[in-house]
Amino acid sequence: MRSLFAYIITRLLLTIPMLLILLTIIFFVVRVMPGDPVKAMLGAHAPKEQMDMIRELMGLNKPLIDFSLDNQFVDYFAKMFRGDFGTSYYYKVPVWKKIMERFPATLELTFFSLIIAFGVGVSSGALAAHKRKSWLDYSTRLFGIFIYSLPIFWFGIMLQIIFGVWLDLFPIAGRIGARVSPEVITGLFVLDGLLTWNWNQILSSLYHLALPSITLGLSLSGIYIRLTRANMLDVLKQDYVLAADARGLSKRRVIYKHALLNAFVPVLTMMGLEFAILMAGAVLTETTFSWPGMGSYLVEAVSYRDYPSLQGVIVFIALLVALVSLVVDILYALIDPRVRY
Amino acid sequence: MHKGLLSAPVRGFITMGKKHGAEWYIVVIGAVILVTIILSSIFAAYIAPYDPLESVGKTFTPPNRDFIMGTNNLGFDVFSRILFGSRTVLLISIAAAIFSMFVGVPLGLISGYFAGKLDRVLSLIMDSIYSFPGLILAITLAAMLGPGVINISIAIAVIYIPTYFRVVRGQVLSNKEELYVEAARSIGANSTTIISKYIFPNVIASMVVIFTLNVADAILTEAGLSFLGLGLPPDLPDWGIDLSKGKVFIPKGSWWIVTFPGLMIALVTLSFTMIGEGLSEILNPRLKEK
Repeated sequence: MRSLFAYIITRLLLTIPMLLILLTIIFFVVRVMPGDPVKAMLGAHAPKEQMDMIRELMGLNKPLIDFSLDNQFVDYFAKMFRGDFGTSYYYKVPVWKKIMERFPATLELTFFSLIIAFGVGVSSGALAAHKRKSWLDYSTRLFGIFIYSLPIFWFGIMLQIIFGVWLDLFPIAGRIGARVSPEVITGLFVLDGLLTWNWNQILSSLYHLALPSITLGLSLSGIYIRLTRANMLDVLKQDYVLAADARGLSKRRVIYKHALLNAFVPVLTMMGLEFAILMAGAVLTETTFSWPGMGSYLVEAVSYRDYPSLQGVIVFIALLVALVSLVVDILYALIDPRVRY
Repeated sequence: MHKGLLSAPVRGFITMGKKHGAEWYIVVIGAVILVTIILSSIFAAYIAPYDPLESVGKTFTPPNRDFIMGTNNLGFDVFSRILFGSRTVLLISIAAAIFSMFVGVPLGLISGYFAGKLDRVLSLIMDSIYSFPGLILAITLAAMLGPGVINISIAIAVIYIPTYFRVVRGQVLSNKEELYVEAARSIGANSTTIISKYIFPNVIASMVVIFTLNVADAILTEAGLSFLGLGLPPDLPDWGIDLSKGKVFIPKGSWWIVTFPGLMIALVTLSFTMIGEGLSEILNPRLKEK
C-alpha cells in the first residue's frame, strides 16, 4: 500500500507543472490579441478618461511580464490561485458564478453521452473481437470509422431533422419543457427531479436529453469500439485465457468475464485522453441543440468579445483536464498494481 | 503495345491487392473518392452550373432538375456553393497539417535525439497542449487571431503540433540506439548528419500516416470552427459556414441546405481516414493482427 501512496503523491506533483504550463499558455493566448478589451467593454466611443480609469482598475496598464512582481502575469496567477475569475463584460456577473450555472448542464449531457458511448462501444467492440473476421466484425469496424468521420454537429442536425421535424418525436432545443419550472439543487435537472420526486421534471429533462446525448454518445462510440476490440484481441492471446479455456469454462464466460474485464483496464486509461475529445464534442453538440452549458457559454464569450468569460471558461476546462487525468491515473494504479512501479 | 501499357498498372494493382488484402482496397477506395473531390474543386469553375456568390433562383427551392441540391435562403445554388466550398476546406486543412508537420517533426527529432533538459521541457509543453481539448484551443486562438484563411490555418495547426512531436520523438528514441546509428557516430558523423541521414528516413513512413489522419481531423476542426461562426469571412463558400447558416431553417423543413455540405465534410474526412488507416496497417505489419 505504501507504494500506492507514493505513486499518488508523485502523480499529484506532476499535475502542478502541467497546470502551470496550461495557465501560462492561456495567459499569453488571451493577452496577445489584436483589439482592446476595454474598448470592447465600454464601446469605441467612450470618453478617454473613463477608459484610462478602467484600464488602471483592471491592471491593464501594467507590463505583461517583466522581472518585477508588479505585472499582469503575476496578477493573473495571484487571482487564479484565489479562485478569482473576474467579472463578465457581457453578463455583468462574476465569471465563476456563470460557470457554476452552466457547468451542470454540460455535466449532465456528457454523463449520459458517456453511458451511450461506453455501452455501444464496449459491447460491440467485444462482440467484434469475439466474432473476429466475420461480417459482424467488419461491419462494426466500418461503423466505427464511419461514425468517427461524421461531423458531430451535422449528425446532430440530421437527428433533429428526422426525429425532431419529420417524425416530431423529440424536442430539438433546450434542456427542459417551457411549462416545467425545474427545482434547482445541484443544477443537474434529472438528479434534482429525483431528489424532489418531481416526475414532470425527470421526464421532461430526459426527453430533452435524448437527441443531444445520442448525438455525442454515438459519435464517441467509434473510439471505444476500436479500443475494446484491439484490447480484447490482445487479451484473448494471453495464457490465462488459454488456462480458463482449458479448465473447460464456456467460451462465452471466458470472453465476457475473464477477457473483457482485463481488456477494460486500457480502455479506462484512455478515458483521460478521451475527455478532451468529449469536451470538444460537447461544445459542438451544445451549439447544435442550444444547450445552455459551458460550450455555448464559450461560444457566446467569443462572439460578444467577453474576454474574462473566455479566459474563465478555458482555465476551468484546463483544471478539469488536469483533474480527470489525475483521477484516471490513480484509478488505473488501484486496479492494476503493475503501474505503481 | 496498347495492351502492354494498360496491363502493367492493372497487374501491379492486383499484386498489391493480393499482398495486402483488404487494407489495400481501403486505401484505393479512399484515394478514388479524394481524387474525385480534389479534381472537382480544381475545376469547380467549369463544373458548377451557377455562380456560388449570386442569387440564381427562388429561395428555398427543394432539389429539382435545375438545382440538383436545391437553393438556400438567399436563392444561391447549393451544389455550386459545395463545389467551391471544397477549395476552402481542403486549402485550410492541408495548409494547417503541413504547418504542424514543419514545426512538430523537427522539434520531435531534436528533442528525441539530444534528450536532456530541453527534451523534458518540450515534452511537458507538448503533453499539456495535447491533453487540452483541441477544438477549444483552436476556438480561442481563432478568436484572438481574428478572421482570415491564414489565421484559421494557424489556429488549427497549433493543436496538431504535439501529435507529430510525440510520434517522431518516440521513434527517434528507439532508433538512436540502433547499431547503424552507433556505426555512423563511430566513423565521426556529426549530429546533423546522423539526424538527417540516418534517423529522419526511418520516421518518414509514420509521418505519411499521421499526415493523412491529421488532415482528416483538421477538416472536422475547420468545419467545426466555421460552424461556430469563427474565423472566415461570411460570404466565402465554405461547408461549415453554409451548415451553420442553414441550421436556422431546419424547423421550416429545408433539409437540403444542411444535408449536402455535411455529407461532403463526412466524405472528405472518410477518404483521408481510409487512406491513413489502410496505409498504417500496410506500413506497420506488426499491427495487422489486431
